[in-house]
Amino acid sequence: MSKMEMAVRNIVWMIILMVFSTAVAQAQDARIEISHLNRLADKASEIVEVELDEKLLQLAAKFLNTKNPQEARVKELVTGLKGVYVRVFEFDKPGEYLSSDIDSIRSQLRSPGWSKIVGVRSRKENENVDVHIKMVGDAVAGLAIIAAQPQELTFINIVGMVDLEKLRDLEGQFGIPKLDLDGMAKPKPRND
Amino acid sequence: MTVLAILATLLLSGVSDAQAQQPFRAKGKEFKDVVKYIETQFGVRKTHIPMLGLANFAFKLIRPAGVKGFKLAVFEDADFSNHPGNLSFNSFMREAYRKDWQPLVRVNSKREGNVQTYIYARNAGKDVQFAIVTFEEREAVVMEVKFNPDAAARFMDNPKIMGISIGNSIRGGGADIAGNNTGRAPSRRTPPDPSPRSGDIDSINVDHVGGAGPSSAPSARPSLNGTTSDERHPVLSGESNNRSSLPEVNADLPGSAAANDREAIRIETRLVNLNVKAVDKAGQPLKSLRQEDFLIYEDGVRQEMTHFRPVNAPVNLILMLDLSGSTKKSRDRMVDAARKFIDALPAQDRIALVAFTRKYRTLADFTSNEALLKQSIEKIRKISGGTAFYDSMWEALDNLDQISDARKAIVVLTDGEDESLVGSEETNHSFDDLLGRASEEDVTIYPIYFSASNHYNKLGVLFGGSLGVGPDSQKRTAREQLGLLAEQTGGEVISTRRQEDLDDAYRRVASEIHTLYSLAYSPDKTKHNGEFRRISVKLNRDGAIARTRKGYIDK
Repeated sequence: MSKMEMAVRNIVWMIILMVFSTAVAQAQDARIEISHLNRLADKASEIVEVELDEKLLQLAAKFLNTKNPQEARVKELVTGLKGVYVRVFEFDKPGEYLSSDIDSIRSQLRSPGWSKIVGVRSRKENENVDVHIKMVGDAVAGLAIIAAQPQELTFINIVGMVDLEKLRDLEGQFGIPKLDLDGMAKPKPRND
Repeated sequence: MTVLAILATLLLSGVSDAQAQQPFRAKGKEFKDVVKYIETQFGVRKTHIPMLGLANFAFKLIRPAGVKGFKLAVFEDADFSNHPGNLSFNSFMREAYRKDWQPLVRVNSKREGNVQTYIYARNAGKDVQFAIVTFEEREAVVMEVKFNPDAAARFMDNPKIMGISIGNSIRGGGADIAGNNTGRAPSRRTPPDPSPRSGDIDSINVDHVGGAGPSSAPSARPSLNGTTSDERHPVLSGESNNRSSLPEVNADLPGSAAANDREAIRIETRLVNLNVKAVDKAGQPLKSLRQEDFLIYEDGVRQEMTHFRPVNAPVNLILMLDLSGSTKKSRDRMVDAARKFIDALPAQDRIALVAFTRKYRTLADFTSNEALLKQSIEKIRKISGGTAFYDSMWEALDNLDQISDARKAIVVLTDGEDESLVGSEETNHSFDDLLGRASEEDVTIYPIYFSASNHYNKLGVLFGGSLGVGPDSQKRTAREQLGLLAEQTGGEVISTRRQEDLDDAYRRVASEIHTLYSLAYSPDKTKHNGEFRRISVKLNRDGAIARTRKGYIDK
């Protein structure tokens, strides 16, 4: 191999490494800051908080049985994840959380790379559900779900490479509530 | 899952309710701090369990499931529901488990008596350490566990302690995660053929005296539930019609076995009984419909209704109470709620009271005597044991088979967790057997799903029971099974997690039961070929919907 070939090869590897590290960094960026929600803890009658980082997800993945089809799918999905963060607050009466609590999250979800792919407004149930994803190239690098009802606020943040078609397998796992993700399609990346 | 596996290992080793302090982490004082905090704040001491030191030594030596050590402190018989400020304890936990530790899960349910669960984790080289703190109303548990995840994973694949196998792979056992998980239980014996059921087939053997012709056939007609009806059981008292549609008369043919008795005329008819709920567009029950408002179809072919009973007709009901250990703390509330349930039912309803653990106990036979029923409920305070849910339901169906009236229901307060789901006990009847039978009976089943929380199922918040083992997976399977029983019989599952909600749950059931009409028809084709006959009931009211069982097996 000539020096020129060596140099080209090194450059290619560097580019690959840069692209990869950029993707990882952007995946990490998919984590949403939600510490301001902690103040709701003393008002809520039911609280669920889950914080699983990459190491713990990989640890959990060790115990998934690849011979079981669903567990194998979950394991495959978990392998690409950097974190799962869940907050569920249930209140005895409406009005215990403020719209500013959600606005703070939404403002982060308006940053570049994030797209809202589902928005449901139910007047009958008085429930609003927004699903946002963060795209890196053609890949989904993060997902955030806000479900707001008068007496319940749920926020889910999944950080890492998410295959939306397999996302259903995560429902009910790792503290993630059952979600109606039918019909959720992977959108084109937004140019902003 | 790891935590659950470790907990299971601890339980297997007989140290579940113990306290121990093993010096596997000399520098760590988080555990001591939390224990001291609880002792100081609640004025309570750790429960002392004998032989725990030996168990600790055994764990250190054997390292079962990769567990290298644990600390456990249990506090009992103190009021932990009212501890000083949830936020302050949360803050305390974050302070105590600050260095190297990462908060994983926090669950706080003020509605359930301020139940709290905290799980923290940290890496310790190749090992992982978990800290779990739970508060329930009368119990607190502080536990730290250190284990090697690779060894734990190997243990799950091949559970061995000191080279001795303790069973099949823990992973994936007991439940088919891929779907269709009905938690089939092992059967000790072949279940009896669930059909024909007395509720579906009416066979009347009539002695033919003195060679009289068919014209002397009895005036008896099938009762609504299909058992022989006679003067002693005038269950339909004029509500029936269309006598001509009832029996198909098959005189025995020469050469047939039955023809040996030429003095007999065999009249056979099948009656299909249906308990039907009718609702309007808004889902509100329609309670004043008449017979002509209903249209019955079998495999798409209109059938002629032979019997009709309105929603206010009396119901024969078995109230079943699951008295497994998990409900022990709720007995006072269960008694109180059951009493109110009896009050809520119309006086003419006949109620039997049954308690079940691994045994099926009839505390009161069918009666309308409220005082007797309420007195009998008191007996449940002294009963406790396991949960043979499938077998108990089977026996309840047996009991109801003896009732000649068609309006029958089972109201069962349970968490639905048959012991076969955890493999600890075998059952005479699997869930599939039970579901098959229930779907063919004319009994409407209303499960009241009552699952009190505890620190073990709180762990399921983290792991979701997705691995097919562990308490949360069993609970999910149990809950799904209750749903299937209700769906197949036209009933409804009512879920409640808190004792305080039992009154409401019963009230709803009491209301639901008397939204049911009872109909029956005699199918125009009976092939007895084992095929499934699909039933649908329609209403001649715009937007109204009728709900009933899906069909029956034509055997």
